[in-house]
Amino acid sequence: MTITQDFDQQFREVLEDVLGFDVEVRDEDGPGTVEGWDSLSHVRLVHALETRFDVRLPDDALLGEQTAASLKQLVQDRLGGG
Amino acid sequence: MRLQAEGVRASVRALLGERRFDDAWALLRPLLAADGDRGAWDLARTVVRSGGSAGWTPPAARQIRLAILCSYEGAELASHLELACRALRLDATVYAAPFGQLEQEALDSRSGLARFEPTHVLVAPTTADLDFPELADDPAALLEREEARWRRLWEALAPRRVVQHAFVVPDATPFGHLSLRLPGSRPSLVRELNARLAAAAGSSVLLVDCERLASRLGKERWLDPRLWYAMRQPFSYAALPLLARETAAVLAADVGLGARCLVLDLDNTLWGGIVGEEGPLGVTVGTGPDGEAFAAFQQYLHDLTRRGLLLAVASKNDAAAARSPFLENPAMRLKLEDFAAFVADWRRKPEQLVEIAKALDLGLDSLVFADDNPAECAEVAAALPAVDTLRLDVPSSELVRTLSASLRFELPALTAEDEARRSSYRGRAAAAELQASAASLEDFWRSLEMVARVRDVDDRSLERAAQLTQKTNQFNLTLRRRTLDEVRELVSREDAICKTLELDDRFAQHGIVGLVLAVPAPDERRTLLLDTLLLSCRVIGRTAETHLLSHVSREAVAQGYERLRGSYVEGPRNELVADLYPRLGFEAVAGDDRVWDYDLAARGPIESAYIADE
Repeated sequence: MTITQDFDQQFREVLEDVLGFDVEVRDEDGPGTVEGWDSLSHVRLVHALETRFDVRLPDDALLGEQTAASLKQLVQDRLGGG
Repeated sequence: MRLQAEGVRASVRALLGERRFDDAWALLRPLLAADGDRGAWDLARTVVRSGGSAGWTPPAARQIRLAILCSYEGAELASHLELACRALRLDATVYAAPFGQLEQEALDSRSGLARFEPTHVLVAPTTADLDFPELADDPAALLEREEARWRRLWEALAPRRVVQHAFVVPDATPFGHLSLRLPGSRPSLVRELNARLAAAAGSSVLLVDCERLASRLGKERWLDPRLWYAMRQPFSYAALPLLARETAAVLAADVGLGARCLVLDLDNTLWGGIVGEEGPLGVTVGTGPDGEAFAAFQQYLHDLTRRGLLLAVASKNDAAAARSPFLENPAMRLKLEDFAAFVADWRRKPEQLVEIAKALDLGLDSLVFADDNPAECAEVAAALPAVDTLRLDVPSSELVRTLSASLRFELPALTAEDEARRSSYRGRAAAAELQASAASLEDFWRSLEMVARVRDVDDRSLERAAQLTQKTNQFNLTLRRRTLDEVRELVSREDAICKTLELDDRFAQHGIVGLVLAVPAPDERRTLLLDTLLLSCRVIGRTAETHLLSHVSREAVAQGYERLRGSYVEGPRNELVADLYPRLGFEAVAGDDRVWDYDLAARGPIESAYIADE
């Protein structure tokens, strides 16, 4: 997969699927800063990203110190490095 | 599989925008019930959450209060289980106890579980909780200790209904294939423990066969060590939906939501080809790869009838052509007598299904419709949302697996009555034909030559009695649902009069089809209160209720009671008994048209004229 404009759209769709269509997520948001983004849905989110983009993120992506931006970067790194 | 959810995704999003929650849910429900497709679960969670904030909940036919006792972080299982129950029309209010607190929650009368007052408790450990070494010197002692642990827990949780996740046999062992021959190896111990728990569970504890589920998915995919280390939740995201679905199926069956009748298409479903074109001997069944697969599918269907499931046919076909393979093709495994109802004409399938439900006296939600034609399934789903549909547009070699993955065919226990019911439904159809030719209803009743056995509820009939309270929707005066333990407790009361009715007629033995539970009225010692009065729908309209009450009233008189008191609790499908009491000579109690008294002192015991006692 190449990284295109399409990527942003797909990334946002995964966020919406897991966190809800009506949730506004900014780049700096992460577990605890958005309603519905708790430790449980964070693990779901990582898994959904892995499934959608067919990548394996590092184990510490599951921990709570991620943001939307850092997750996006992790996925892009994996896709770019593929 | 993922793509399927993505196709649905845009529709769901649009429907949520218009707040059409029912329509969005209808799109997702079949995906939750099918294999794979994790995306559907996220979408379904979103629909339930958005709907919830607008005051909407998915439609449900039963409610339970489910406490979950996990040895691991159970929040993710609980979340999946709530959705899986909803997909089976079961509204489960869930309490997930703090993990690892199994005994504490079960034993402490002030625990969160006790305060929650669950109807059902899921006991969900994993194999890691078992105190088994890789090789035991004294396997018997270890097994005894583990068996005792789980049985103690079950006893502490009674009388709530307990559902237990049985244990998965480990797939890695230092002893390799030798472990199978070593009674003390860890895999052998786990296998043996499962067998012992199954024997101990009897009919009061429900078991989920996790070993079978893990094997089906593949044990390498069952657990996800990464999730265990990160959040103390052992199951992979492939396993969670499967485990939740199958647990929900066991719960749904327990409260009477299991399917009673599978309605099948014929052409390209039971055999290959079109019988109207190829003739009874030209259709593909019996020989060749395709023919063998269809024969195996028929055999599987036949085996399903052996556990009480009814089969029916809904086919757009010429009536005679549709029957011809059953009569003329020797390779057919299914015979006409395997079907409780057979409809073959040129009407639309929803009309055919309505007729089948009516003929068998079943609610539409007791039917599952299976067809190889997706358009027919879609038409039925749209016209009759209560009927679950099963698409069989799969290669013939996959038919058995597709059907066996359906969640609607779980059953909590196999009773002798389930076996008897099949022949009874066929007998009913024959009796219905006779009814048309009999001169009067009284003549009809006499011509049935009915013989009854009315007995006190005892250990042999307890299970059937509880099952009747769970499953009976139509001829049920009070709709009180009772678990096995609750019935046992009631029956053991000295002052209770609890009777079952078993009925035979010249066509069939119907098994135990009637139940009365009666106790003295709390404030009036000379009044006998009919707590529960019900009949299986198979024997409605034959004076069986009169016969049952004749026994109860005779015994009541002998015990010095002066009146019987019955009440009617209105439900969605029991309006046919709304006027039962006045018909039997009961009089409304002043100021309350739902409570009725029968004056034993003035009128004497109720008489039964058309049913003989054996």
